[in-house]
Amino acid sequence: MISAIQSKKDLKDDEIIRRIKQNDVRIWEILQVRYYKMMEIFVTKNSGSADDAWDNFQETMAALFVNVSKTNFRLTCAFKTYVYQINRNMWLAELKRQKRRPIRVYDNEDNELADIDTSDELVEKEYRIKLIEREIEILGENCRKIIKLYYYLKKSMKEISLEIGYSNDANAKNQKAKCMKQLKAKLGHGRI
Amino acid sequence: MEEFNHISLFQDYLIGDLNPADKTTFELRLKEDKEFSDEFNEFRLLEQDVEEVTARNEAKFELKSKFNRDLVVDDYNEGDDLGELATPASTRTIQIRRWSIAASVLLIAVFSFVFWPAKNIDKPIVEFLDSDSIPHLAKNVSCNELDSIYNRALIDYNKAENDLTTQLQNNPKGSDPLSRKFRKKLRISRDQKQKVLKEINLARSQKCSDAIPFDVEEGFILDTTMLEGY
Repeated sequence: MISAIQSKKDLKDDEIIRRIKQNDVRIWEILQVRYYKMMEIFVTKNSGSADDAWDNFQETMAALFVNVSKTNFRLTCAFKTYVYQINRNMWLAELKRQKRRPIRVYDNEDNELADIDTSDELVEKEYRIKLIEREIEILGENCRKIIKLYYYLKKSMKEISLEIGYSNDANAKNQKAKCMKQLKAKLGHGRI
Repeated sequence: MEEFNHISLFQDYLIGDLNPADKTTFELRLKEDKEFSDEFNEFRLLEQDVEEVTARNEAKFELKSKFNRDLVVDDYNEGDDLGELATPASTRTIQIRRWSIAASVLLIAVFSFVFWPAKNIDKPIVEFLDSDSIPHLAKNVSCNELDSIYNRALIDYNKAENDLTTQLQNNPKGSDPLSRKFRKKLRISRDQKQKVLKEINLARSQKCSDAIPFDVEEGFILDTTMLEGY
């Protein structure tokens, strides 16, 4: 099995993308074999432990899956660089969340990664996502349910009202607005 | 209150629930009222981020079982332009590879038995299974294959227990070494059956969203009175 995975190390970037889009069960092990060490080195060089690297790897793979699955996804650099970039932004965002953002970031010494985008904008986006994720976790159960039904499962207000047991979809809409207001307030910026 | 109404209004606009007149008013206000327009853009950004968060959470949940921390990784070295598989493996990597090879052999044996039963009809699947190997096995087979393995294991264990029980029944009060040996085998078989089937059940419940737990005791034919006095 492992040799089978290793034999896939020459997979072309577009083949990897195609297999991620298809959620091919083997592609995730191949990605782990190919890129985990690279990702771990970045995290451990930048104040993280091996456990942090493992957690960050899983977060990175989830983000990768979501991004690649989008219909408008286009790879504009080497896939390896793309993976490194997400892992990097994700970890720097986590350090910021923990208020441990380093003054200097130590990137891997790898010529293939010379063209990474080191702008703060991408780190900020990941930071925002992390904050929202944590705030959603501590919302009430109904709010979490409504958010999942609406934003992930793309249910209509009518379907949500039926699923949760509201008397009509106006109640569901009202409840969703309250949840979003609560979330916004917890995030602590803006007027909404 | 006004803040809350804004969110409701934004939602209605984005869902398409505003009537034409309200929609026109809303769009006009977006053009003329910068503060209102900023709020609206902020809300849309929040919605996009929430959508991203929910999608990632589901992806994390789905992918969790697909990664294995002990899986061998390529020997990427910093400063090495070629990166992947460029240097000799570390000791830990070699150990993991050895373990993986052993696991692969086990998997091949199980697959061979499950999918070509005619060739292996004499070999019980339980000869290839132990409770420690189930989690690894479960990662590499489908839910249907897990079900098949469970059923085959159940049949094999029951058959083995049936045979041993019959032999004990032929010598019910025996205290000779042969009877003691049968009783001991029965105990071991029973323990192993419980452990293996429970592990498969656990693996199914973690892997298969529609898993209905099997009854581990189902078809369990061992008469425990046969073990009394042992």
